[in-house]
Amino acid sequence: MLKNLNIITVLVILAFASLPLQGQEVEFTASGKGNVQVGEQFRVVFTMNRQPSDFQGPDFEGLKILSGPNASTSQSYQFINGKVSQSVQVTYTYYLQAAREGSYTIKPAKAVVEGKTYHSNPLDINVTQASDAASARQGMTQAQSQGQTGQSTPSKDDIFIRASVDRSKAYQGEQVIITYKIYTTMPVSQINISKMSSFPGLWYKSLLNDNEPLKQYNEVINGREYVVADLRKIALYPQRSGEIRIEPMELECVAQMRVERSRTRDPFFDSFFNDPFFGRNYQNVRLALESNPLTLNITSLPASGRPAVFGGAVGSYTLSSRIDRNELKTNEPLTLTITIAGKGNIELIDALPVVFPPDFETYDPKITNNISRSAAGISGTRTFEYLIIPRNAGDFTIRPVEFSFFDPSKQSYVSLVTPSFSIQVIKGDDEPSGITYSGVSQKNIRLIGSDIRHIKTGQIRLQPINTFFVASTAFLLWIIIPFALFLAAVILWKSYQKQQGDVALVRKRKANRVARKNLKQAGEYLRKELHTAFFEEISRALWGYISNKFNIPPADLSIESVNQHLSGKGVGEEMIQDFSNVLEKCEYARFAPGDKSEKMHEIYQNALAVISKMEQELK
Amino acid sequence: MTRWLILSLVFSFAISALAESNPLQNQMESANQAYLAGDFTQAVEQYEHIIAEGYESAVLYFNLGNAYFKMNQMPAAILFYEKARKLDPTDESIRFNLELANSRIIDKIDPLPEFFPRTWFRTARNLYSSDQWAKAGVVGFILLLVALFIYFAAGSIMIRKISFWAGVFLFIVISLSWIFSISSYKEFTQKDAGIIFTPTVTVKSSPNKNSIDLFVIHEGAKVFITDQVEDWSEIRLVNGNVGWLKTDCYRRI
Repeated sequence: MLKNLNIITVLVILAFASLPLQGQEVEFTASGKGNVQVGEQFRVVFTMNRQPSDFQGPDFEGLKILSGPNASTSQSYQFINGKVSQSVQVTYTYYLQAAREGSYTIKPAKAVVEGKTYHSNPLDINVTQASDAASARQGMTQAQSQGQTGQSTPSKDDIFIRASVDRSKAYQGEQVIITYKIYTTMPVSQINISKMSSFPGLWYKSLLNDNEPLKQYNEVINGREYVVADLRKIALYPQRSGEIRIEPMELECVAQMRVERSRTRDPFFDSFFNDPFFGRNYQNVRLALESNPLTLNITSLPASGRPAVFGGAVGSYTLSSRIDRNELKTNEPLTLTITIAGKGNIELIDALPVVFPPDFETYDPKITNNISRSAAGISGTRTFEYLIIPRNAGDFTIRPVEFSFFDPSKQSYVSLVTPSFSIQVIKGDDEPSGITYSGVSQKNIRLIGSDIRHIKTGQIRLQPINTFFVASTAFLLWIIIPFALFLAAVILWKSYQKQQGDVALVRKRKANRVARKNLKQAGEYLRKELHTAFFEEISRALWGYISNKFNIPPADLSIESVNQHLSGKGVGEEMIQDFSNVLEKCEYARFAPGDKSEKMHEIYQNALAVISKMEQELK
Repeated sequence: MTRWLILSLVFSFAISALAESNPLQNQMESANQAYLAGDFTQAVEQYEHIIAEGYESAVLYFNLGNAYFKMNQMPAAILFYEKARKLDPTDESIRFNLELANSRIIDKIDPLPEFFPRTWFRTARNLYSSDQWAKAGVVGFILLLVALFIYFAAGSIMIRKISFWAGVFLFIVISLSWIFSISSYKEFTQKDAGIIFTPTVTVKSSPNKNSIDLFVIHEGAKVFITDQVEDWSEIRLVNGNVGWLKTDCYRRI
């Protein structure tokens, strides 16, 4: 049963959803006020009784679209005598404003329903010059009485808005307060800012609370008393230097102005009602007002003396910092709080670049602003909380951080420094979970930064520019002089050799020849049997040979010394023995008695043999 | 007589080196002090003054380069590191800082591979400075003369043989060291390289403003100057690209 009911419900719903609408004709109408005034906001509504698949609004030539098309759909189901009917109403609403008088025709709008295009009716609109309300901006508020006697629009002096700045020259980043004030001599209501000034190149913050009612006060200008209200008060912070133009603010409001009733042409009534007691009435007048444009001259901050850490803060500030504890265990968090307090563009201050010990785990600072807005500008505190977690035990120091700002009142940069904090981290009881140590845990040395090598100090040798030893005269001298010395040495050596060496050499070379000559002479004496002469000659040949050959003075010669000399000159032992034998025999035979003829022959042969042998060996 | 001449020569050298550099030595000290105090502008001024006085040294150029580096003036830093390296190709710190400065400029120019004997020659040459090579050559030359004298004068064949081969060896050593010395000297005095100082330079195809733009280089890039026509210079980059730019765009090393 329940199931059946469900099915029925579904069927009913389906039936509703697919209710036939074909029977209905498509209606597409445009409606709106026929007569409007310049500056008045008015509506044009396109209504349709079917849901179109496409809607295309007309081109409102000459009219300003304030908003639209704003579509809305309403559906209704009707049960009449068991019959169900459905009706749909789709409306597209435009809010328009006419800037100039004249008659306008709003062309038909197009809509597509089930593939067919429908057109709405055209709409004629007559725009008239404001008849019972003043239109127009401040510039157009000259009295324009087109026979509308008694109608007047408020003049420039009656009501106006004025933008003013507390200073028109400022440093980049310095606070400038701009105030928009409305001055009026008549009651004003429904103030609506239609266009706020744009602030190109300026960071701004409103100083007034939007919800607060406007504060009113009186001010006398040129003898007229005005009621003044601060519409907007905005703190501006120039972000660039140069001339910055602030465009005017535009607003609309309704002023209650006194109108003189003088419509009747009757002179009697005129005179009666023109009486000041009776002839005045209040009328609501819609006004468009525009403030004056402003120009700010922004000078950039001086470059000289600008600290390296300067980040654009301008104003006057104080700096404080603290750390929540100095002793902690590894893997416990630590909070460093740096607070900047003061007046200026405090919200634009970046987090200070605190340098934590490299082993620390650091997080981005949490930034908290406590800003108070007052008529004098923006002041407050900006707090940076740095959460850090030391991972290793040890004694660490958080180095001081420098914060610098430009103080426009002193016209100079001010630097503030936090104290340095020393932290003692002791090893925590438990190792962080999830980390297993395999063997000995070692870390590579991490390069934290790169920098150039430091300058070289100490004694250095400066030399004149472009002096190269290889291109200097000194270098040439260092070559020429040693070479000259070398040549001199060689020449000296040669001449010394000539003096010393030549005599000996000549004698040496002649030794054999002299000895042969002597021996030949001895042979002659042998044939003639001249004993004494023979022995003398043999002796001379042998001694002379030795003396010449080895360059030994004859006076130094004896049998013993010959042995010594010869062995010193590298003559063989046997040779020396033979030579000595011959010499001995010769000396012996020379002075021995008896027949010498036989001995003479033998000695002669021996002497010949020993000299030849010696000559051969020394070759 | 000759001995006196040499002695006076040596003395005059030593004295001139000591006496002339003393007031500037003080300036060097105070410049270093300024650098240590972080007043790089002051340091640069004083180092430059020493150079303006007509003196130089590898250390001076190195320190000046450092000061410019700290002032973040990379083209000037590179220029002086290059000068320092020319004077003392052996110094490792100079090379390190030059590389670091080169890594901070916009252009990264990959050098063309060099023909390997050239690289060897350069590497061998840069083991010592020009002066060191020249002095080594002088010492070798004197030893060679001694060897020659021994060769002439010695009676023994053995000694003559030894001195002969020593002479041949020394001759090779002397030739090499003087070639190295002269090569360094030439490279230094030719000044055929420069560092770009203009922030952005468009290199042209010919020495004419209206010619085709070839490529763009930025400050700090090293160029070799191959030709000069009026106020235009033909340059070659280490990657082999050739083009023309205004002569006032660069400063010679």
